[in-house]
Amino acid sequence: MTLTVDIPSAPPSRPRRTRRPGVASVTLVPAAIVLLLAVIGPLVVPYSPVDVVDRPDLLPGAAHWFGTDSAGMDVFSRTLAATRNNLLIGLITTVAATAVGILVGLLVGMNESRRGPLGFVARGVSRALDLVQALPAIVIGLVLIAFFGATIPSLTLALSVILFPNQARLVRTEVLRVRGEAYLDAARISGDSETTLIRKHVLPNSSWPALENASLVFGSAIVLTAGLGFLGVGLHPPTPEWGSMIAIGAPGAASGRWWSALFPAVALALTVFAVSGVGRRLFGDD
Amino acid sequence: MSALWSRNGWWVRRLAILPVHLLLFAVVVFFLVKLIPGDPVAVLSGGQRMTPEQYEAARASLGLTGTVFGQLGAFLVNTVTLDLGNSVLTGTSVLAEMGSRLPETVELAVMAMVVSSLVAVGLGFLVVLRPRNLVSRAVASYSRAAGAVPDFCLGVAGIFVFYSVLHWAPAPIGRYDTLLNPPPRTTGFPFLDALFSSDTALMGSMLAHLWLPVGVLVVAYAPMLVKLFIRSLDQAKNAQATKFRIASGASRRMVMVSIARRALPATVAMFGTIFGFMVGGAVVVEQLFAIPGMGEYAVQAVTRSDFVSLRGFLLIVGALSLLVFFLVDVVTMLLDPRRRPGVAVAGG
Amino acid sequence: MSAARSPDGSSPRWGAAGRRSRFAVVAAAVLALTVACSTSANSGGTGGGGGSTMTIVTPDTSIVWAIDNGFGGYEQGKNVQATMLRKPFVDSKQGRGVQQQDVYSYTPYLAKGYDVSADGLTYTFHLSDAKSQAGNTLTADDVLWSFERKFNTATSVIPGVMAPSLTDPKSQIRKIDDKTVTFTLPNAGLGTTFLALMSDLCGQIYDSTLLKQHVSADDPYAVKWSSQNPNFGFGPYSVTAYQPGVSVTMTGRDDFVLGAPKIKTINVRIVADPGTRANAVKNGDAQLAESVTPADSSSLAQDSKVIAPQVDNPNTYIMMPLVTNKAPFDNVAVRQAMAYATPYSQIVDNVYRGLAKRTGPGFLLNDAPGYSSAGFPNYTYDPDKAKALLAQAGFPNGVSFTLAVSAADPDTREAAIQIQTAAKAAGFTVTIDEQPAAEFAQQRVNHTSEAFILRDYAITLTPPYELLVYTAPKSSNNFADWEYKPFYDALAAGNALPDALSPQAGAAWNAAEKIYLDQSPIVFIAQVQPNVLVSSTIGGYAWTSDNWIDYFNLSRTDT
Repeated sequence: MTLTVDIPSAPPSRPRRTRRPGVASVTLVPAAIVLLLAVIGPLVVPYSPVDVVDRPDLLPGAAHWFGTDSAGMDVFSRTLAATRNNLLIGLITTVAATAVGILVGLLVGMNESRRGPLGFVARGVSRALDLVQALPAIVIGLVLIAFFGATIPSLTLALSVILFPNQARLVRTEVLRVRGEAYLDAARISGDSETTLIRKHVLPNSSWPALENASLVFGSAIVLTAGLGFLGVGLHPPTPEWGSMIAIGAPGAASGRWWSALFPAVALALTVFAVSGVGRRLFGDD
Repeated sequence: MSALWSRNGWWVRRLAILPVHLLLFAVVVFFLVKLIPGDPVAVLSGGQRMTPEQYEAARASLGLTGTVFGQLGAFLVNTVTLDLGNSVLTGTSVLAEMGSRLPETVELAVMAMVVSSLVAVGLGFLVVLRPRNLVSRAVASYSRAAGAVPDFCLGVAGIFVFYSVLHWAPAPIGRYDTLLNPPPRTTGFPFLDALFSSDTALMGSMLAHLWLPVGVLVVAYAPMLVKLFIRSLDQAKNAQATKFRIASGASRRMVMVSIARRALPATVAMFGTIFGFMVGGAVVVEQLFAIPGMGEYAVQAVTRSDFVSLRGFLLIVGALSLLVFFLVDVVTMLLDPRRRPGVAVAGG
Repeated sequence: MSAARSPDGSSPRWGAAGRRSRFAVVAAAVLALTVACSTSANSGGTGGGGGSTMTIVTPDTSIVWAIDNGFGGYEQGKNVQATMLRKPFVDSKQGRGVQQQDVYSYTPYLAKGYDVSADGLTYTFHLSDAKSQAGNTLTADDVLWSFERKFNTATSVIPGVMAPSLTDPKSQIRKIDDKTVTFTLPNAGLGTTFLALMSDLCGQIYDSTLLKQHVSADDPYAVKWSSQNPNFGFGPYSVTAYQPGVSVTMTGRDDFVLGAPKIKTINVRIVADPGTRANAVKNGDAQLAESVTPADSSSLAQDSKVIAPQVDNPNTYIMMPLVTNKAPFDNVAVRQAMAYATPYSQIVDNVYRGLAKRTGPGFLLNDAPGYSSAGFPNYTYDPDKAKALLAQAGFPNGVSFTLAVSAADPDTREAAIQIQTAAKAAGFTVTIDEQPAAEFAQQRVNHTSEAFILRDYAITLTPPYELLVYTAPKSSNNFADWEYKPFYDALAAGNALPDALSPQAGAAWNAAEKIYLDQSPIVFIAQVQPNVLVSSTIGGYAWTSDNWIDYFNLSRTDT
């Protein structure tokens, strides 16, 4: 469980640092490995990741590198096979939350101080965004997933609903700033329509904080999935997914059977590190 | 009179619209809670044998019969009269539950936030001033992936290491030893109450029980503060104002204070967000350490389709946030009159 | 404004006006207070007062105090209440102080004794002079009023449970004098079940003198009031502090009808994490843990400081209802195939780590007088036989179905995974649907899923009750939505006999159960041992048919 961080950043005009190619590729290597595992992982697992293959709670050893879990499934195979599911959940959520966030942020930001019904609606949406953020994400997620059922599409939908308001707020703040810039007036005078104006000038200049925050949204999506799995509304068992694996293994970990929760937790942490590396590479954010 | 209105109207209008917002929010809550599947009567009966007539009677007694709008009306009337109802399952008053859980949760969150901010300021300065230091590098990279390690992983690991193996922490069962009596209730904040009744045994037990959950919350959430603070410090360090101070020969301490003052506001905003999160969302830490709070209450309500409790929870948390937003708005408007509504905004 | 309710229902109050000034002095007072001489309630060491004390850790069972206001965690409520009869305790084969209920004897409790009329229809109870928590003496009016309340409250589940023995208290229960009441049954064969019911939760007698003081127009039996004010019974303990979702403190009553309880103070603490509960008993921080996982129980069973109780014949079953109102399980051959595709011994070993047993395919306890398992189908894991049955039923390519499990019960999820893997070889493709507890309860009541898996038990252990508990017509508790005339006829034949525990009755129950199992609406997988861990310093843990612990029987062996 986590939350996205509302980072007030420096203006976009700051110079992008040029990087030496060596450093750049190093930050991308972990992400490339994760991606590779997601693609080939399910093909190379030593055991079926969704079947009982041995006695439960076996210690890590030669037969089962990461041991077996409380049902007798192979933890190594499951951890590897889960990479694809988790990456899918994270990426779809990130794209959906960011796209919707940018759109809503733009509309709200451009119309908020208008008089008339449009302005009224925009102000209402703005306040609603505040409210959604104020409610605990995990509770909203619980309600939505309890309603839609726990499948990958419904999970990503619920996570997007939870995570987009912050993206929208980031964009809105930036739109409010951009709106007063002189180049917009110049474009208006030169005859651009309002739509062209938004597409050509406002969008590129105000969407960057949401893009920069995207790696964090990715991490939050996976960690929230884990939290929901911990509370019993994860994907259908025995679908391999790190969050529910950690959740199922956690009670045993307190009494010394640490392996079935530890390995997926490490995989999760490494993946979030890898993705935040990509984020830094793309947006020069250290 | 009109002068008085024009000077104060902006916040009075804002205050007057607050109940309207809350009422709209109540409508949203009503429909949101309708979404949770599960049948309260099924939970209530524990699946015991029931004839269709008994089933209908039980539904009626829960106010679940009649049209949706009838139910909505009844709910809104109750809300306006501050009657949040009783839990479907246990029959306890929702308002009373909130009254006892909210201060307990807030107290834990305050403890975690105080420690977190000390940690954030300390580590932030360390990283910015000694970037090549080994500790600094470790801190910087951990904070960069802020939130990568879920709080419940840290919680389980903490319990395993400090309770099961090392025995440094007492059993993670509640706020204080099971055999101690609760403090007499004066403020509702357990530690303060123990303090008021000068109950040293209880206070000692509370400190022994709370250091680990507070530590878990700090390790899980302080990195976000650290990350932000490092960044703001960096910006402040490189700003013109710093160069001016150094150029004009200010002491090192003066320069530091100046940098910190300019770096803090953004961190303070973040502080608010995390604090709000801890009040409603620290479910897992609450569960692991058996310190039942607001978050756990909401989760229980969802899993048992206790719609009355869930509505009450959402209303209280929503009202609290609306109030906080209002105060924040008023404070910013006081500081910066241009933000007040009615003041023409360029392009508006 | 407090949930830490004192038992009489009054909440401690604090004035809003005094808060601000009090807040102002906090800062100044902090230093002074930390060094101040303590005079608080906790200065003398433990807060339990005199007598021995124990701590019980349990998950949040959503404690309810009044069983007619909804069904929830009733262990604490049970220890505040008392029934007219009780089922006595005997030692279990395991030893180490573990006991179990003799479920076929019914001995005096609040009643000094009872007589049965010659026709076996009228039971006359002679009441003792038991005192309630409020100090009132038990009278026949308490009995009459208690049943009137249980049958006239909308949220009460009791009418469903007590039918057909007791359906209309007004005509069936009569007051002879202040200390004598009679119950008249529709037929003599229901007598054993009736006595069992009077010994179980539904037979509790309330303090009507107290409750009548708290009735109101919209709460004519003080049901709402008693859901908040637990001390309205004649039981061994009274509740001295209760914080919903956090803790309960219970104190033994010196004026209890059977004498003062051996453990004076019981602290019940709600601890959500099962691993923590088990560890707390292992480390001596608690003396009894409830809802422990089988993995923790089996790994701690070797520890000399901990007892994992095992009883001769636990009544908790892990079972899989196959809902018969829709495909694929509307076909009896498919249901039988599933009974052959279930990996019984793998579930006993892998999920319950041996803390479960399978004595046969049935649901009736095999120690009941007159019991027979003659002619039962021999359901064992046999994928070839399952495949053959499926082919015979017209599904040569196998069958797919969705199996619902509750997120609240991890052992059922693990059992479902074992079934999913094993049933593949038998031609079944299983999708597991894990649901939050409330949603699971809903599908269970509305019969909307295809199959589900759960752990459950019959509280009242007489053959006719057990046979009907999951099969009653139109009942929400008819798990598989299975209504089958030959079965009901066989059951009626048994009920017509005068004594439910006689050999003739045994033959009748065997005939009914054989139909039940041949039709296979529910796959009974195994009997599961109590999921509790007890410290070796505690004696008198006893398995009860309701699986809620009788605190009165507990004692400390280390003091």
